[in-house]
Amino acid sequence: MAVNASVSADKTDHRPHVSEEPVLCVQNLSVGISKRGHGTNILKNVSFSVNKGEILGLVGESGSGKSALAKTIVRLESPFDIISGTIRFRDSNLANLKERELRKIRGRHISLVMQNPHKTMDPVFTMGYQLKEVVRAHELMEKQPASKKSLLLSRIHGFLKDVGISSPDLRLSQYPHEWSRGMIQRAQLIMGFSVKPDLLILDEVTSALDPTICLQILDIILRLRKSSRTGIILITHDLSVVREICDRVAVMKNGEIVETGTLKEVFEKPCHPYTKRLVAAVFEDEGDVGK
Amino acid sequence: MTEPASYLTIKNLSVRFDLRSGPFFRKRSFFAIKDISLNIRKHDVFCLIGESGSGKSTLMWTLLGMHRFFKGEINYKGGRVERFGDSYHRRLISDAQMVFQDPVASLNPHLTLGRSIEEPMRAKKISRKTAQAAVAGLAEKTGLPADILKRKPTEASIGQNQRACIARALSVKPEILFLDEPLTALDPIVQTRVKKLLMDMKDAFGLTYFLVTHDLGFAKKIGTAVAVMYLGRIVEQAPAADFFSNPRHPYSQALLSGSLSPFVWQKERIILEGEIPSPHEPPKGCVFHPRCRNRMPVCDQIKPACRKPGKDHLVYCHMQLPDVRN
Repeated sequence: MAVNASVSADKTDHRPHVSEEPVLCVQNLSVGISKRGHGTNILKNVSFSVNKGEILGLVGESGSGKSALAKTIVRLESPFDIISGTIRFRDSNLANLKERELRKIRGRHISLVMQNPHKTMDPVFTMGYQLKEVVRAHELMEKQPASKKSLLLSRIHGFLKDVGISSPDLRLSQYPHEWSRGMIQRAQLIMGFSVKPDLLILDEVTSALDPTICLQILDIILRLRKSSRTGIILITHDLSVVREICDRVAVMKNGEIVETGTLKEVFEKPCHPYTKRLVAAVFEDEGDVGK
Repeated sequence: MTEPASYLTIKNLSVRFDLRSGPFFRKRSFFAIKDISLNIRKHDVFCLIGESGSGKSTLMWTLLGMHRFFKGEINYKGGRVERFGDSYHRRLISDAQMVFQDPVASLNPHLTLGRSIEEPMRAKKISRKTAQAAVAGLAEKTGLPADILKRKPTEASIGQNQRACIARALSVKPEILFLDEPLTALDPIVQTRVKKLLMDMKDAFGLTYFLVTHDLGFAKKIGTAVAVMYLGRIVEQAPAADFFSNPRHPYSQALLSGSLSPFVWQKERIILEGEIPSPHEPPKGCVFHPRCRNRMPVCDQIKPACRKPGKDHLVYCHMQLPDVRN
């Protein structure tokens, strides 16, 4: 058991890793059922940016469009369409790119870690096989020569050690159902960070985890961010998590971003009534349990 | 509010499950719960906390007769449950109701919310007319609009479904309500409303709560007594105020420090290494010793005895228990 100086103790501790250079800039993004605009839009005029090394917390209730926004950024918005707006990433507009070009970006420059870790793994292959597959795929994308089997294995062992998974030989021979939810989530995080992407989208990675495991995951996110200077979008409905590790916050409601600001601005002086309710719900006084 | 007389007491309760793997004629088993002793008083809000896989839900389900217990005893209102399903056990089961974690999954998708609330009353042979009148009253108390009662679970919000589940549990006037992580599936704003509803209903119906939760902020706010479970064993139990101000067991401290709620833990965070071991092969001695930062040579040899650092405060640890006021 390690005593951390605190995952969040000093917010200024992780600010030096944030640069002013934006890695992603989304402007007036609207996503809906049809390009003719007959249906209801699930995202309406969404604008925000993420800087290098910054963690942007995206919060809101279920159905507010957080996950839809994450999928749209990596252009997996189907069955919906982008109706208007731009997604600027590495001097290109992702909203206009063709599938072949997008494939080069997904996984290599933008990684997405999804909620429900067990559902994202293939139940019929061992964890070792699936983790090796990811590393090999990245080597192929980078046009690097394929690593020897032993080298590949030692690399994966290193990854697992980094996130505190012991007995790697045994673990890699097991199937996803033999791993706990927290372990798969940790493995996915390390695979997401392993390619040092410019942008990492974490969709509810801490929801439904025990408090102790949640703390381990947050610690790993901070450590990996420090070493790779990746811009991170952390999607969650838990404002306590946001307060713990994020630099800035965007609040979503009904497909719109209703408020954006630094932690201090949003938590101490929330402007939008919905943000006020959200903040009050989490940081209510001990004696008052909301209305 | 709390009464000194014992209401629900558990003594050395153990629950054993068969292992599915292994030779057919040499069945092996493991203890999901081992030698648990608890005392719950009437009108208590008893909070059971711990990581997933520590046996919290198994204990709850055993009390409600969904699992057989291997040994130990349950005393309910002075009656001793000696065997699974005997008359005193049935009395406990009929006085209890349960609220589950996922409201949508725990409601029948083919029934309207109103019919779901009515169902337990119909099972107790209460006439339809009386049951319908009771449903209207319960809906009002739990804040469910009349038109929502005509909807099916998929047509209502998750908060409305959880309100319906609470109304359904209250419909047969239980004495004790078992709540299995009732807030986990809800959004923060809905959580706040359901928390308030649970607190109001406790006072309105004079209930005793047996609450399993990961939300330590809520446990601190509503709880009167707390027990911490780890790998099927109780490692600490105490009155809530004592526990949250001065947790003694290293696991309790790590658990509280893992809560991101601003009112639960103000000191430095303690990040536990690894995960809860498999109950199939629990560590020898103290079950927590592989993850404990204060472990001593004795910890992996001898099971810790019960210490009593305060009134009704029990800790199972070899360590000299320091005062760590939070």
